[in-house]
Amino acid sequence: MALPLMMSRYYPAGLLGLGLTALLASFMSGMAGNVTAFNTVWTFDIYQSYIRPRQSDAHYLWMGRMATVFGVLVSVATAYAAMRFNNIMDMLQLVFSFVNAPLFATFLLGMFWKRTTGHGAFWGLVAGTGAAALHYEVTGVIGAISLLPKIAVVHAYPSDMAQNFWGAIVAWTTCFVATATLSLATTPKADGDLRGLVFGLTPRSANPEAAWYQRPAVLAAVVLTLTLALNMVFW
Amino acid sequence: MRLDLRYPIGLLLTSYGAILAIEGAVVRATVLGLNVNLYWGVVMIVSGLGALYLAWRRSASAAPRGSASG
Repeated sequence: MALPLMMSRYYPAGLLGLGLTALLASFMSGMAGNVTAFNTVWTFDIYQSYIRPRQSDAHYLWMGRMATVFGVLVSVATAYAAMRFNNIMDMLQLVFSFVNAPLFATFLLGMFWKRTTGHGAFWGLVAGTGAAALHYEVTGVIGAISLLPKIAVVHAYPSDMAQNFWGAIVAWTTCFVATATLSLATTPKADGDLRGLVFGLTPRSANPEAAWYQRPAVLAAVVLTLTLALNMVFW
Repeated sequence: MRLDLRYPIGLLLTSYGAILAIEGAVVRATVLGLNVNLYWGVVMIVSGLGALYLAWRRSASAAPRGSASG
């Protein structure tokens, strides 16, 4: 919340309106991206692939629109849940520990290990998210009122953030181990199906002739150097 | 529809900048001794006009080719 605070303190009427407009515009474009990603993943990757394959385009378009409406309603409901947290970062990290931490293990294995299978990835993700939920249900935070009733509190963390980070570690590890184990137990995918998807099976399009500003490694080094320099200056 | 995105960007920045600059010139509110409304309004007008110039230059150079072929 540093940005709105700075704006309300230093911006005069006029620039304040422009600042709020810019802030809202960036929130809206971020939300639009998330909603688009949500309805695409649901309609293409889950609904079309597993629930109702071989339907007409009109049918999938309708489903995509319904997913958009549903996604927006869920985000509105989330805003009410967010009001019960001390600050937005605590809530965001809690959600990340449930969703992003196990998903990171899934992507890591899926992109760099060709032996990963769909079943392994799915159930690994379910196990990872389940582990995060279980961790949340059996640990507490000293002096904090929990959003959900706990099963039992076997450990109390000093802060919300400590609980979130340990939850993320538990979720990531569970997902990684479960995905790897289940993948080894299921039928491997043919190498041909994974071309362009798995790092080891994708031909690299390195272009050493490109000018320095067209080479990702050079640009990455520049950005990293600038970040380090700025951190040192404003330490 | 082939809309050059630089037109709406330029129009938006120019009109917002004009509102801000007029506010700054009339009310003269200052932050840390600077009339930020006026200065930032001028910056936005210049950026907006720059975007409009780029869009206009593109359409001006494309138009003769289009009329010659059609």
